[in-house]
Amino acid sequence: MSSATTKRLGAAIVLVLAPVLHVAIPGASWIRTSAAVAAGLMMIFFSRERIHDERVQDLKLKALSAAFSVSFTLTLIVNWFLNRDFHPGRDFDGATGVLRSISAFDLIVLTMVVALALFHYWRFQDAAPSAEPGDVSA
Amino acid sequence: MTNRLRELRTSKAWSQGELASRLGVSRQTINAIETGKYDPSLPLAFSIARLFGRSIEEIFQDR
Repeated sequence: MSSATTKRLGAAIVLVLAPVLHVAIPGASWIRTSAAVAAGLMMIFFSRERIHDERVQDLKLKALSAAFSVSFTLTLIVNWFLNRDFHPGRDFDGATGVLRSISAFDLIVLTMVVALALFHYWRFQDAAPSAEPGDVSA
Repeated sequence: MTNRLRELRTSKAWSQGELASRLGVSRQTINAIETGKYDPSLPLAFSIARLFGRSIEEIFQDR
């Protein structure tokens, strides 16, 4: 499967299939939908770019590392501190705090969203021409 | 690390896109190297040096 096809398929899952299934299936839960969204986002993020060079690999790794740190920290704050969900047994019964606890699929979705945003932001910065004279870019 | 990539490229009147296609990388990667945001790997540094007929040390310098 080509990189463009993988990316389009991932986008279709996130934007069309997951919301449609969530609405169409009676009693559909976010847990099931989030699994599809997570899979779609991962397909988008891990598909190859048109020119998949070393800078792309470097940025993707950096974006993934940063995104995982951000989402893991957020998960700790929400689940452990705001929801006061310190008891490991309650993780499997559902938290009783004010906010809904972040599940493993939510963590993946959050990580992928942040990673995609960071990657494209840094890629956009790479493309920005400098103000120096003699910049012959095309 | 600093480099003379922009100077060498403009001396040949190549665009960033042209240099990128000669090296098999994207234009963004060339821009990132020229602006010092990214230090290329050793294989890419060798490719750049070979393309301009210079040694790596002539193109890339330690700050």
